[in-house]
Amino acid sequence: MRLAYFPGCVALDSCRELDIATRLVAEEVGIELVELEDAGCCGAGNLQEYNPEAALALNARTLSMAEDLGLDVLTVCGTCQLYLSRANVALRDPETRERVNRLLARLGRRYGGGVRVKHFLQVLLEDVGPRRLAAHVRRPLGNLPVAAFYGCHLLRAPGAAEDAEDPRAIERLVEVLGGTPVTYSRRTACCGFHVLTVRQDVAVKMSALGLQEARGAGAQALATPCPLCHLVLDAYQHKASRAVGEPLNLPVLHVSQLVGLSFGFDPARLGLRRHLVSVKPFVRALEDTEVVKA
Amino acid sequence: MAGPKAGTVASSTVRPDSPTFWKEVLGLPGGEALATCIQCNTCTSSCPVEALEPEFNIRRLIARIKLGLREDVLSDEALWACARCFACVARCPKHVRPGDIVEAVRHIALGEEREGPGPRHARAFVESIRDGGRIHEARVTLESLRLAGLLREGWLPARMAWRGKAPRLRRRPLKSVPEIRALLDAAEEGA
Repeated sequence: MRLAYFPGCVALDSCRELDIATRLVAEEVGIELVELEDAGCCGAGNLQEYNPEAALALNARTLSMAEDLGLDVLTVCGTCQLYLSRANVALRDPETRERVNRLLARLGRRYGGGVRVKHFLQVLLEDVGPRRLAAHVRRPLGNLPVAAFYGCHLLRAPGAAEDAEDPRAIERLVEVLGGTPVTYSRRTACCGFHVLTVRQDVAVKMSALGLQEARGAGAQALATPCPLCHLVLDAYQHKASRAVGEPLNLPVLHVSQLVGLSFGFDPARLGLRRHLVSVKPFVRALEDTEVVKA
Repeated sequence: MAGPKAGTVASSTVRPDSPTFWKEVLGLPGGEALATCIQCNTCTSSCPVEALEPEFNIRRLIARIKLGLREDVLSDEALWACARCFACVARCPKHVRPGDIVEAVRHIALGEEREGPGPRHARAFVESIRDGGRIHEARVTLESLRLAGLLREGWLPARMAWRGKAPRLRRRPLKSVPEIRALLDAAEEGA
């Protein structure tokens, strides 16, 4: 299986560990990633606010690059998934597509509307499938309680495979990886990332409430499909702890890292050392579980 | 933040200054469904920001637009507290897409070069796309927070750097930046 890989901005910058872990996991399950190296930012809502037409054109450009390769787009970020698939839906309208194609024509590009935008979580569960995924598990997550933190944008992207009010994808994935999912109501809550620089107090409190509830439900780690959620939940967790007046101390894993750990990859290769909240206790507990022979 | 209290439509000091403001918003991407709002409050009840910051009340924002309180809406710093979670868009029974209305109103505010942390962040973000094709996190963060904001982060930047987690200081522009810039310019011209 080949996919046009759109890592987005953050997975190549402060969350490089996500890009690294995704490439390792993709290779292991036989997905060939053709990186869209020259694709621009999805706009993340900011460009959409500043100039909606420019945002639509920039995303149409990205989609056209994948179309030229004859591949669907793979994202690893909730926000990339939302804004690329929103653009894709808008571009289904022939009139809109024609208008945007007039802009793209200046670059010698054209988008015909024939590309799908998929997040890695969806690809793992639907295209690779539980059976093939499970066949790669060398270190089942066992009794380690892992909770999901979905992030808004993955759930609310047009065409999302999940019920936004009651998603099951990450919990299903944890089960496939031989683990025990923990559920709690704020697993679909907002991390606050998009107001982090404007209203940090609000963003930190929002993420704190989610972390606190997950911890209370017994989670020993969170798994998130979005690097922006990861930044707030991990890097700002000390502030979240202060906001709720208790130490939260909950490691946060990218979905790709969780899969990689269960595949038996060396934690150092998955970039776990880059996290601000130590993942060591979780990894140590995982290393105590029995390794399944290939 | 000054302004009318949550739950009310307008304080006595706020006067309508643009009776056609709603038409202005209606004509923008995101604002198309504004007129169908029935003020049921599903949006505000779903809003995780309002739960912590009642000054950002999305139902009330729509009411203020319809009442023509243009300056009141555009100068309100709470406009920039929306976290774009789109819970309101998903749940609105009239498909008004309240979160997209926020996008349209912010578009007007940015066009008027309004000041404040929100517009500053949006502009820094867009400038960074123009400059590098993808955003340069370090630059966007610094320009959004400014030095004072960065100092308020305390040891966080140092801890991130220690972990190898800090965003890159050097920009890494895409090869296709001139192409991207040309596309953004063309879209802005409305060509």
